[in-house]
Amino acid sequence: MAKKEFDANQESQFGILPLLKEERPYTLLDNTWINIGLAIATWCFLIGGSVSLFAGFKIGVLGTLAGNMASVLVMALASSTSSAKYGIDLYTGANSYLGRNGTSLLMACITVFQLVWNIILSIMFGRAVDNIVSGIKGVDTMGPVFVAIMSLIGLFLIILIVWKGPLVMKKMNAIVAPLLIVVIVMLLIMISKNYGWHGVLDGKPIAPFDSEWVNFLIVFELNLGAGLSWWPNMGGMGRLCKSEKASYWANLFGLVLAATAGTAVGIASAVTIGNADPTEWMVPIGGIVLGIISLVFVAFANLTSGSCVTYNMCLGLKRTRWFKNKSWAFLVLIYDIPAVIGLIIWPTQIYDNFYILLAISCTFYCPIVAINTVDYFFFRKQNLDIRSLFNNSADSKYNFWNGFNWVAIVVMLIGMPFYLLFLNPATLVYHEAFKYVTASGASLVFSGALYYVLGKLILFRKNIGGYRSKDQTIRKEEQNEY
Amino acid sequence: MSNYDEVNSELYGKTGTDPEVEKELIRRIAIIEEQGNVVPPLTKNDWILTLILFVVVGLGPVFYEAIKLGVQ
Repeated sequence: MAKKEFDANQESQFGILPLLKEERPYTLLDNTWINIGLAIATWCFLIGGSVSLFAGFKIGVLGTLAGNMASVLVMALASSTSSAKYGIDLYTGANSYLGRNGTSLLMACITVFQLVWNIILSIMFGRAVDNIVSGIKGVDTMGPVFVAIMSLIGLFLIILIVWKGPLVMKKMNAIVAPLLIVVIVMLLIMISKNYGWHGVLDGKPIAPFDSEWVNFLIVFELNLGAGLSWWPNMGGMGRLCKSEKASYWANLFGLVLAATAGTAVGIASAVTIGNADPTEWMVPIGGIVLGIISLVFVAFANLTSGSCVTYNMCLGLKRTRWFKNKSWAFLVLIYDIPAVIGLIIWPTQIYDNFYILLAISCTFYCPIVAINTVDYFFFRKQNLDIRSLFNNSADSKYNFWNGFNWVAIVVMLIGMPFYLLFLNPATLVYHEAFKYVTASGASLVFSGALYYVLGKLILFRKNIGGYRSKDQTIRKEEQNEY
Repeated sequence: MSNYDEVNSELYGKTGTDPEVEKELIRRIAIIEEQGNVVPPLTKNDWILTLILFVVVGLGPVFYEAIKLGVQ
């Protein structure tokens, strides 16, 4: 059988090749739509529901905006600018601070998280479709089998979108994302029409703590965690951007502003209707036509989020030796097989424990974001040795100790439980110190400081990881002269 | 020795990819190294705006609420 002809453009969009400027399809606006498509999904509404337990609308939105702003600006700094600068995905860049085997270890964990997110998003799609059909038929639900089949169809559609790649994602999000904003505004209007703006603004929190300060801080913390947990979705899109601005600022519009707007709808509906998920009340409150149109877009929102999550993860997996020389379609299919199994066997268990995943994500992403940021800005001064990123042999500067940067791995292992000293994200039981420093904030600063100190003491002193490399300095000088 | 030859001599056979992918990878690395910043970087204004947003919108409400409610 004749070997398929090599296509560099195809290989760069669906593979490990760094993207050159002329090949990059995303402007700031394109990437903004992608980010809005990623941010707005049923999960925003559910986070809004959690926020409403502790705060009313005004404080809830204020805490959500502040939490998202503080975390996304920090989280995206190193990840999205380095990806745009070198045209590489997040996991190729991670070789510079974890080593190639350390990156594989990280990816093994993140793959599990992202697969579970895909399952949850598919179920959210299935439930939204169930609400559409049952709304039309005038029944409560079409039943669990119908939801399961629709969830599988949702997953299949995600696979299809990712298989077609970033250009289809760009076109799809350019249509869906603006309409999602319209739907968000429409949902707020629906609520205010039925309950009045005073009803929304004066809505009381559902199950707050006694201390108003703690309530605000929990809202802030929930959104710090949500903002940091976008980290594995950076890079894949950043490498497709025509400038670092397009890669970085799109996060502000999508992951901060659009996510806050989505969460605001969740809070408003929870404090007035008593149900944070608009897919369950759109038809009864909005009427059959308006409700179903909104539902269709919310259903699609789960697919745009799911496709972004899957594309980023598959791009990362393409760098592993199992998938390096396999086709993109094969990789996307293989990656989603566990999601299909999960959807068939444990749909309810996974969906109902959505918050536990979010909780584990919080503890996991704080230290890795801190390490990424300290390494890229303070240690590497925003200069990576691109040869070493792709050199899989022991003579790569980023080989560290047999492909593992044990300093970063140890900081990860210490940083994760450190979070729990301040807050248990699953039960929201907090320690006194949480009231002064938050859990994500403390974990970020502690992990960053620990990595800085250990890095200087071990990596720099022993000259491991190419931190004192003369070659790199010379190359940088040559680049500047050029 | 051209930059391409230099990258080739350092990376040949070490990327774990098919020969044609590796050849293209080396070509691209050589271009990126020669060009330095492949795409326009963030400017000073971007960094200033980031700092302002972080402090005013990210941390501002926390300090405002801390003063208003008291850390109790």
